[in-house]
Amino acid sequence: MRIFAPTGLIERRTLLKAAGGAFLAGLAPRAAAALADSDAVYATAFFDGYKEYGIALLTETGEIVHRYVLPERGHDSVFDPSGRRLVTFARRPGTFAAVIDTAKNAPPLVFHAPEDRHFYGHGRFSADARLLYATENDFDNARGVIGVYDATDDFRRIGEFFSGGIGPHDMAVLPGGKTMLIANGGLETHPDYGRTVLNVATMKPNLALVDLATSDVLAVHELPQHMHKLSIRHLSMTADGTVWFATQNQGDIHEIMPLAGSVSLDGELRLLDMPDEDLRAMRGYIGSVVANEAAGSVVFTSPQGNVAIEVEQASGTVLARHELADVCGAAAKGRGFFLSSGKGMLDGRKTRLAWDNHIVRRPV
Amino acid sequence: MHRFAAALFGLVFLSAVPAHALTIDEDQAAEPVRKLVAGFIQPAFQRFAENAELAAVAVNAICEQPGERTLGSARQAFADSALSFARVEFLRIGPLIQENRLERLLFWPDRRGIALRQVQGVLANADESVTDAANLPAKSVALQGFTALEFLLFGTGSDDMENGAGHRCRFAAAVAENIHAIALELNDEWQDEQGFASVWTSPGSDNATFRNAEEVVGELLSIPSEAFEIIRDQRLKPVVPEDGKANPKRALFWRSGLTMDFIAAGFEALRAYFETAGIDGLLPEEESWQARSIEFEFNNAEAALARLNMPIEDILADKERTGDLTYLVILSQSLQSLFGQQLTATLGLSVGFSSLDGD
Repeated sequence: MRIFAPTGLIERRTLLKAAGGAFLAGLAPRAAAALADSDAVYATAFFDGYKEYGIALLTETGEIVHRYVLPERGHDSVFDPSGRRLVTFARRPGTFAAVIDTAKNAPPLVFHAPEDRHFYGHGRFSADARLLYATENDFDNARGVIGVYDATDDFRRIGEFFSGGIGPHDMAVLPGGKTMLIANGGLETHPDYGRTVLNVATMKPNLALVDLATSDVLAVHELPQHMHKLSIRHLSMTADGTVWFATQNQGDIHEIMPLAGSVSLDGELRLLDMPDEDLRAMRGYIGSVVANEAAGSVVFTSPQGNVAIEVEQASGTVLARHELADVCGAAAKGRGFFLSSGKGMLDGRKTRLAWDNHIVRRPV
Repeated sequence: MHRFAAALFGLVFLSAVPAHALTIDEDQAAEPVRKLVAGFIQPAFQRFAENAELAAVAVNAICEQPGERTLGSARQAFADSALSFARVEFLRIGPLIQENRLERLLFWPDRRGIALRQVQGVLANADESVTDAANLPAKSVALQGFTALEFLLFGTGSDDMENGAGHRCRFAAAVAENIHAIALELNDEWQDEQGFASVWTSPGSDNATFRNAEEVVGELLSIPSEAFEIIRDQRLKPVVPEDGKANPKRALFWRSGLTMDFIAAGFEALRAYFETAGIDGLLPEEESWQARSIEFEFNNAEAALARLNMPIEDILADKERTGDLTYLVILSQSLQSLFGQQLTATLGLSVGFSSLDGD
């Protein structure tokens, strides 16, 4: 059983056609004028409720600056360090990534994972913006890899390295740009079995620190054995290199477990001691984690629990709880957070689109 | 008394389907679960425990009196035990998902053939530690449950047990005893008046697992939705040939010829689940057609399964029967969507876009 389009070319042509159409149809004159300037602050994937998946660029207040059609459901996106190019990845087990050049009036460039890999939905640029890293599944060998793409050459795939585990999902390039912390969710999946987790009893998620020059795995952080079903999925890094992580419980979600924590730059792993009632409210599932540098806070969203919980970074104290049905997308906004939901809510306003799991903020 | 009124949002909020605000109190929500537990779940786990015990006795009998008769009886007892497990294996809540019980009973899918490798390794080394059921819980889950026992009773070399039972038989007896022990734990926990059944049927602010009516009914409907996804993605799709290449050995229980019986038992049990709980009674009058749609799809599945009542390799050798198998994939998809999306949306429980099938 194969999950890939036969050649990749058909998919690309279809996408270009579709994206071109939407591009022309969806572009109001004012928006067109605004496109090249800095109005676009956020990017997030969406579903229109009928048939179309896409990626939208949004203003600080949640107005849609522009939207692009994607061939299938998208997941996370990443801006290059200059904030000009945006890359959106297919949701697992998808195989496409779409590159949008916000300075050009052009449809997205699409590239694909190789035939024996699929994306997990997250990527990061190298500090010098020359390389793009993507978490990928080497599914025949049940091994996580980071695909390396040349961002100066139409995102040609130039290599890959071992992620340090199975099921890599999110990652962070640490300050200095020489190392990367990878959230290996621990879940073995194979396209032949849909999204079935093949190793629940033995799964062993970790946070792996990898040297980007040598591809050596420098350190592996694991959770205590009794927490081995907490799949470490999403990360958010602060300026001092502390990486906040959030997990999803693949075991009994009614069992109260710490669902989040942080790793400092010197490798100290701390679990976040949240009140039981908050852990219970999140139903074993955090969909995204985002730190707010200005406020010294971090937010954890749980679409399963219909709640977003803000925590003070320094003390771990819960600062606020936002009840919002199917909330998942989050980004820093001022000293608070810009939240979105699969039920159409966007920064407090109701819209007609179902917003996907992640929002990225454009670098200034 | 807590009440919830939920409107229909999410994916469907854009469509022409009207939003149904449904109000159910906690007691009304718990009623179908009470019926389900007493009328389906408890008897099904009890039956499984009984059949697992019979299988343990029957496998042990081969070791005591090796021969065609005892081997034949043990194989039949394995089938009865496995098929009664098929009737509970989708109840992946509470007791079954604790302490790796599910994986210990059924290590599947096993894409890389780990169970076969480990079982053969143990046989090759005549590892005595696996012949005591008390040692098995600490060993690999692949050595503990039905797929290991199936190989021992039906796989290469199993016929030799007619002529003399040795290490293989003692290993098989230990696995059968281990399955029985897990089945007993499951049965005890489901019969326990203070156990998961009680937690599920008494929502409230002091209940750490089910706070309100919505969560109680949400669990009730997510179980069949997930069950049909498992049937489709783990049991059917890997076997349905692509590019004309049939691979019957990717089927669960192909060695014992129980592949389709196991799937049929699952469909039958899911229908009993739906009917015993009286899920149709939760629907507003004008939406009762949805229950009929579910019955209709169950009937279609029954008819297809009746045509598929044969070993999987025979099905895959016949174009028409393979077509029936593909049809069953479509039916399992349809039933998953009826439970997981349509019914939940109508009851105002629609699983959101972001939380559906999480990532």
